[in-house]
Amino acid sequence: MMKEMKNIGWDKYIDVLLFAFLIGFPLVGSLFRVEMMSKCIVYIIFALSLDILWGSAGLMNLGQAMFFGLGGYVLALSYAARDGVPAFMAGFGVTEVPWFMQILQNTPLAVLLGMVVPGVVAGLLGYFIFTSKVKGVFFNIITLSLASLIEMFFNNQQKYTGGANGISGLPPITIGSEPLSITAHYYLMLAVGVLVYLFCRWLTHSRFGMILRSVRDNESRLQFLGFNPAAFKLTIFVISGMIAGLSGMLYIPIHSFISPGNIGVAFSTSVLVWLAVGGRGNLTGAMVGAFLITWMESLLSEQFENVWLLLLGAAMLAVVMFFPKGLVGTLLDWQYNRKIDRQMGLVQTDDSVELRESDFATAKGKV
Amino acid sequence: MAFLELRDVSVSFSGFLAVDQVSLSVEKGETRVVIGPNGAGKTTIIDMITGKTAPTSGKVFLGGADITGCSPHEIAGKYKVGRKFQGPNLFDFLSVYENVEVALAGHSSVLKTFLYRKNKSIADEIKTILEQINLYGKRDVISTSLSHGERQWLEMGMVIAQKPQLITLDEPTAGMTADETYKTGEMIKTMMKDKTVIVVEHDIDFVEQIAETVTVLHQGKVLAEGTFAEVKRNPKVVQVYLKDDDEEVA
Repeated sequence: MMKEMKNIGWDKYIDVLLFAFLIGFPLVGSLFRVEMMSKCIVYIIFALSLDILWGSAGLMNLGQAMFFGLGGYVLALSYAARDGVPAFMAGFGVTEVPWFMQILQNTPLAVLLGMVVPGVVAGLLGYFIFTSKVKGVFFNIITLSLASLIEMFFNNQQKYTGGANGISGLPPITIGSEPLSITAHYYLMLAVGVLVYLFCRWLTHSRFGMILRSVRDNESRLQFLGFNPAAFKLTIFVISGMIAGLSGMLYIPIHSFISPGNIGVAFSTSVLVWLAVGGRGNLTGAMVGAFLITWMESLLSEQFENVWLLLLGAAMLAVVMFFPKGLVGTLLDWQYNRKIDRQMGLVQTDDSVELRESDFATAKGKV
Repeated sequence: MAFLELRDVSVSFSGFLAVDQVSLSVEKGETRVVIGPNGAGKTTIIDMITGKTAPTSGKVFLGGADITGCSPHEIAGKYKVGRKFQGPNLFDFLSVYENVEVALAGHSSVLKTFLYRKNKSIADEIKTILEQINLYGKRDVISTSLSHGERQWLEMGMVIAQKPQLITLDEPTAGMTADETYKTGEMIKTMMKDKTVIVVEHDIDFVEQIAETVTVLHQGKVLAEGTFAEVKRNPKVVQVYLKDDDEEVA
């Protein structure tokens, strides 16, 4: 029993601890903190969407926020158009709800589109990027410019997006006629978060996930084993875009506001930093990174009004310099090395002691 | 028509003729060794068979089908051609076990990777392969920590897992000790005995160990073809290859 316990990757313990903490949090935290934590859960989902792309398949999307923003804007426009032409549009002399917002007036359909639209955009982009064999740094440059392009687009389409002011005054989720309480919102986010986590875990532990890691390690070799790497990259790009869109939608009812800041380069960079700090390719790192940085941001900015950004920057630099694989990545590496040393020792002295290979699956292969 | 046929294939890289009007036929079940000095076009021949390079002119047929210009994943998946690269080419951050599991035949479309379940027969199959390449004890080690020879064997195991009907091995013994080279030769003989195999090699002792038919390439052209003994006696071969490259053998 002890031996089996030892073989479980620590990432699983951290995941369970994190979710247990999140479930119990509203019992101890003030409403203000609970609201903050809801936002943190949304960020965790967003971080997971990038980890299955960057951590697994090695596709470092520098514009992941475009999918987050697309999902967010779809739901925001749907909310804004609920009672006819929204104020920011009326200011531009729009008297009739435009056709695409009429579709969004149907809330369940809008929620669906909040995932489908980013998915379709990811599919189109991915199709052109991956079939034209764009690789490495060129993929980064293209995604970065796309994020900046889409940010500009949302800034300029003031008539329909509210421009730089964004869309504000968005309502919380209502069931019947009653709006949900902050705590109810929190548990809704958490439920979605757990589902997304379980889905990502299934995905990365499936054969599909293993092939993604092969794409990351040695894409050209994979072709000679009968795989079409472009199909795998396209699939994960779409899935990642849809999850990012979902997190963008969840952001709307708790934050009641969306602006081009949520769709562009700056926010895309934030999620990269979370993954750099936490570690990539094991889900746990993404979640821990998002959690830690969001909380440090809030707490530091409350304590040190003037220098908090400097402190946060220094902390991030320290992590990236001393733990290039991220906090969780470093921990898992260390555990993996110990395990292999032990196994090699066992194999030489006693062949009957079997260690299970599945236990190592999570500990390996971080970029 | 032979199982594998190259008909008058030529490849030129920006003016340099790497392969010049080569025709080659390999029968089903044959083990063919292609030898030749550096730059003779050996690897380019393998590149054309596996789809890495399309011939500038000429055709490649496999089992009667024209595979000229097909993509590597199509040739590997649909026509079941396995390739072992020169200098091991693995998934470095996957374990030994996973490297073989990735290569496993018949689970290579996106949908099939979602539906894949590792059942007992698959686990047994992987175990058998790992035992054949002497790496079962190191199955959980990430492949980058293996020795050079072990990495070469792992890649052979991956090729076997692909269940190919044609196996191409590009210098499978490069960088190996004499003992490892011998073991590799025996591996090829036992694991690939009823397969069609094309081996590109430098090591003359190794060629003698495994070869049924030998094709000698020189400057992109076929210089001679025959059994190892015939080729070894061929004065042209002795002149351009064996003498230049390997004094003591000639």
